[in-house]
Amino acid sequence: MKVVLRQEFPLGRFHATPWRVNPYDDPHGEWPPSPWRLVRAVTARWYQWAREASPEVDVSQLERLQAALCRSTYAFHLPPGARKGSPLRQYHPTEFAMDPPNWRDVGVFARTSKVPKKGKKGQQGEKEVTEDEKKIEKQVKELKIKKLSLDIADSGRWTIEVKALKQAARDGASIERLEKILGRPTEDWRRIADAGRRSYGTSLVQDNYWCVPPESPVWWFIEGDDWTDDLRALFARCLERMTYCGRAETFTRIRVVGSAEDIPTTPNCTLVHERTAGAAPVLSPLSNATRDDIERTTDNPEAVKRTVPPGAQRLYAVLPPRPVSREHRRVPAHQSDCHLMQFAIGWNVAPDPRAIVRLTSRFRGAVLRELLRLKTGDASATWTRVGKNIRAAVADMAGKDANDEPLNGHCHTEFLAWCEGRQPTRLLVWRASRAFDADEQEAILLAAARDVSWAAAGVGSEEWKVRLVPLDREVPAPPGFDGKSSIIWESVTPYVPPRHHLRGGKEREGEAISDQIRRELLLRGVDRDVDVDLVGPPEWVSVHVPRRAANKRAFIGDRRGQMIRLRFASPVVGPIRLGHSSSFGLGLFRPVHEPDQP
Amino acid sequence: MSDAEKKSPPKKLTPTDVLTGESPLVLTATLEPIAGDRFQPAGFPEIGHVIYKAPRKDGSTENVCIVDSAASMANHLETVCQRGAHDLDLVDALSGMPYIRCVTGALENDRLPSDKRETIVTSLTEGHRIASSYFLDGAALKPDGSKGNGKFEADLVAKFGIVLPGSSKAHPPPERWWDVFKGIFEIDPNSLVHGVLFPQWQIKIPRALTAHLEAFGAGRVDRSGVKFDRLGKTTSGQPIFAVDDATAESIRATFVIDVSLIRSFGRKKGETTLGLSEKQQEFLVALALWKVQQLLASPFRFRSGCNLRRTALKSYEQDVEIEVDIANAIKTAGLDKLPVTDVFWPRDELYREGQEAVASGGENDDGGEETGG
Repeated sequence: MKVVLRQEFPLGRFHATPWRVNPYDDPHGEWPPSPWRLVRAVTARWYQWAREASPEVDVSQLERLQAALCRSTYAFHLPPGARKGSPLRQYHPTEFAMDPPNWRDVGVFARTSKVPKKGKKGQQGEKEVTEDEKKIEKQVKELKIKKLSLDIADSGRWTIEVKALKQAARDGASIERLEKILGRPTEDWRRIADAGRRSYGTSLVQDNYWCVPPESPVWWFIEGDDWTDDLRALFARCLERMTYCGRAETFTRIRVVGSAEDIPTTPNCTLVHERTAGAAPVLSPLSNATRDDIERTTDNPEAVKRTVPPGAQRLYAVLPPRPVSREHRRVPAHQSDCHLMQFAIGWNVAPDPRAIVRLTSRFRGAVLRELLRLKTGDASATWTRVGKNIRAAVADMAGKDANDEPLNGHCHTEFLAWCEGRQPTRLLVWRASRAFDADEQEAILLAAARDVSWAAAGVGSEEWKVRLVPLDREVPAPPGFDGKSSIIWESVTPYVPPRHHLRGGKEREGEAISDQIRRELLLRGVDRDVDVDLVGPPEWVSVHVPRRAANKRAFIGDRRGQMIRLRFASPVVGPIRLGHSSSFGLGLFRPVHEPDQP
Repeated sequence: MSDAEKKSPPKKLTPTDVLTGESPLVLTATLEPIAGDRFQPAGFPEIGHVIYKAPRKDGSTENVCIVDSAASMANHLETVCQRGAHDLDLVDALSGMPYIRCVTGALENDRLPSDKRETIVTSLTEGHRIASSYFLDGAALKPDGSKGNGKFEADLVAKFGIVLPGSSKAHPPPERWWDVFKGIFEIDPNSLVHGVLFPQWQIKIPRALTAHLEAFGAGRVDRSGVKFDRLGKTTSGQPIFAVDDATAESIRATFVIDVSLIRSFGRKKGETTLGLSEKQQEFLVALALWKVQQLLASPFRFRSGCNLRRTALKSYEQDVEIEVDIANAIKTAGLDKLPVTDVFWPRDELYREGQEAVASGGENDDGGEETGG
């Protein structure tokens, strides 16, 4: 007779530690759930049922059920997508005992008093040790005794502690070296133990588990000659009381199913005696297992040192191949009217201010890749491979139309860097013409999930990466992006004139920096009545270069940039970004408020 | 009329209905951070936050974050019973419910007056609950404040009558269990709700209430900061720290009440009640429901960066509302007549004061753990 069970894991996890397996060394975890575990769990729930049952039931019923389970064969239909989860680690209480004391040797040395440092007239200066004492202090410190602490009191009393850990483990060598410099302490060395309390010690344990789709059941195929309708009904009563399987984290629902249900026709996991590559060990009951075997505790002397407990056998499960899975698309809540997304820049090595464009242009490339992937569903989609309709859909992000021509009117997305103290601290994604839609926001967030390198291509780019941390929408926009006007604006990042303003070291006529700025302001529809002051000397900065030419340049900046201060005749609303690579972070300005400003 | 207005009112869950209803009862609460969209999940030792790829039926995977483990949730459900983190008295609503306190203090004429008792831990703060060595290895105080003979463990052995000499079977016979359930119920009913293990007597009672807290569609948000060390205790003076937070599409707490387990704690046999009476079982259900209700009643601070509030509570897709009168449940179960059990430890056996000796060069003892003050 065949009994089929349907087992679900509504929380999607099966936590269990196989018998006598060290979880830290367990490459498999328990999967599928072992028949040995089922037999023991059913036994426990039989006792629970027996307490409720009226009239009272005899334990011979249990023995019949156990015998039927032990003499059966087991096969499974497992959810193919099941996978081992990231293990958890937790501290568990162990022995209840007094904390072992930490011992230390303490010696007190009376030496010369500290002398007051000269203070201002009428003030007491701080105290300091004399020059001679300083020399002795240096000698003591040069001994480099790891567990040593030194305290010099104002009275001149030197107290030295050497940590001993155990009462008997005196660090005689360290004490001897100290005494050579300091002499004997005024009293003998004292051995002191810390205060402690009685409590539980802890042990770090690992909890392995398997992840299972909550909607996909595990099917058990149990086949044996001992099953009768009565036993099947008794089995069902025990199973309906089974809330956990394995650890308490494993919430389960398990029941006997009728033939009318939609049961898989064949198992996809069988238990075999011979180990094959990739097969996972599973404990199963022996056909002659007794009630004592099944009910034996893990610390029973007969079982305690055995990897396979009496009454059980180790079989091997050949698991079904796991299909390729794709990550469930996470659609973040779409922020309406979102023109600016901000990211804090985190680093191990701070990005060089000269490399801002390299950072922003790489991030733009990552955003474009993610957006194309979202629009096409193809992970390998690139600008050159996608059709014109897709190109048109991402034109505002790319800054190019479907024909690869630059967009006009500054309606595209700009990738800017905000600096504090000349250090890039925030990356800004800004578009004035249109709010970012849901796909664009998701693409930007997905691109920010990966580190971005600011190094020149091919030169240790792995080492020079930054992390981008999305900032809450509550974080205010940087100055200049908040819609407020100002008369004075100063460079946040260097301004690079779009056209060469020098020829042979002399200013080209009509191409001075101030002329170029005024022309650009006019083109952008901003007041051109402006005084332009150069701040500090020019500096080399990297500018945006076409992709095909990006590898031809070394790390050194390509163009000279200049910090600028602008004073307009009337207040101007930002953001202001001017010059070469101004869509990639150069030439960004911030408003400055001076006391005489209206 | 809007859809929301058309919705039927939430189903009321009472202890009586739950005890006679389907087992297990599964309650699902949807939670959200009280401010912003980030929260701090549990950090597991050495591995930090756990976000795993959970397979889904359609072949995709979803990032799931374990915000709190089942053990940690049990701790949270026990803290709602106390007045505060450092005030171990029970809240007013649970007044009368028995539990165990480990106390110390200076004996006066071999007695420890009630007002001189200093509580160290209680069965609601101890991980092992009634089975903790803080209780088993101490001496229970009698009503007059004098110490009983022997350890509290011996009192339990007598009460349970379950010691099976030489046995190492995990499932003692059913008839032995009634006294165990009744004994634990009368001393510390909370242990029956959250489970208890006496390995030395093969008594293992699983959790009747298990809670889980998970976030779905989770993402890791790491950030860093700098502490300015004005006291100059560090080398740099500006130690950098890292903080991991998470965001998620939804945060869900699941509470599983194993009603059939509670039902198995007692039954009628003719005129006799074996184990717990129906009203006593009903109290255990009421206590479980009350804990869930308290945890969800107002924003709960699971840890410093994880303050969550409930937005919905469902059971099997139906909106529900918990209706429990815990004070009345305590009375009808007869618990208000039972005392709080105080277990005494001499102060010097609980605490070791700093110890001083003249060092003599290392031929002494090895500094074992039992060093009296």
